[in-house]
Amino acid sequence: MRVYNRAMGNTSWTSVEDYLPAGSALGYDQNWQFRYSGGELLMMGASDRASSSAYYPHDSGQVYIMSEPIPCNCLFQPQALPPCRPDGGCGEDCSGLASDLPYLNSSGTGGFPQFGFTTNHYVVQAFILPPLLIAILRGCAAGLGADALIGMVRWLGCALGALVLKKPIESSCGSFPFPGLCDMVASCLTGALTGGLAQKLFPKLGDYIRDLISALTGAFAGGICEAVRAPTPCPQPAPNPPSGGTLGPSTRPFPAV
Amino acid sequence: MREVHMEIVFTILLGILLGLLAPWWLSILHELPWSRVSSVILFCALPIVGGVTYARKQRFRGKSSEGQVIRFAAVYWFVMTLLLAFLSGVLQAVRAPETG
Repeated sequence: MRVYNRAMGNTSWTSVEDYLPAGSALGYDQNWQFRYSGGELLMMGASDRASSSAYYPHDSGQVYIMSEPIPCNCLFQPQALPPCRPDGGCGEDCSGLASDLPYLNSSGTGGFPQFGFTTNHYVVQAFILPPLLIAILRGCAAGLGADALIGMVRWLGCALGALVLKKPIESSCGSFPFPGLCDMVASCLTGALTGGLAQKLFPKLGDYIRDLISALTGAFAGGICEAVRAPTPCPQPAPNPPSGGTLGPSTRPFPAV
Repeated sequence: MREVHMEIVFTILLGILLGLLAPWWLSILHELPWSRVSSVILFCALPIVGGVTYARKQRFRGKSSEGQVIRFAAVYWFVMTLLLAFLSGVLQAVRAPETG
């Protein structure tokens, strides 16, 4: 941004200029069209710029995603709206404009606020999908990692105990634990779901705490798999009752009738 | 304040769930008297008390108490789970037969 201030007699003359990276600019008379990464800015007529400038956002594939342009007033000052739109619809405000715009709502916050993903960038970027995928993958990875970590810690505890007690590690603790398919699926899904839920409920929670919660629930889901997989102990055979006892089947022949 | 109440409810629900599930695979918890109740106390009551105390302390220091209950509970759960997993491993070694 460039700020220029020049003294003129008793007063001063100030100009503020901001620069956007523009791919191309096309000008004719007083009409200008700027194209850049997030859309197209049209400035039509220099006399009343506020009401005649409009913004046509497009997505990363250069496809325009709004049927109507957004007045620049709505973009730059969402809270202080002028009552007129460039097409002459006086009396309307900017709140109705965001109906077909997933990333810019009427409060000027972009992203998916309902899922806790917000951004202050008004320019369309390829940010819509990646945060969702990243959050899911992150929760999944946290769950998987914690499941493997806790399995490893338990095996290490067992191995250490076996070493101290001079018992064979292999027969006491089994082989080194690698997560099976059930553990992986359960911990990944649970981690991703819990991470998403925590993100939705507590959007201000730090990423690391959210990961920790995903990791915990993922590890618990993996632990349940392990518990289910564990062999059920065989029932012990009942001890033979002493001869002449009252319990158990009798081996003596029936008395003759 | 509403946010803190939501955090407490979330922590209680998750703590009860973890406390009920933990004895399934953390065998050391079976050694506690009334293992289910003890697990729920260990995974639910203690983090709540600790988290609320921690959040109050942070507020008295002039910091925001938002998110502090969950933060405390998450770290507590993680450390506790690691510790119990290690002890379960040790118990497994102790109970293993002398010879393979």
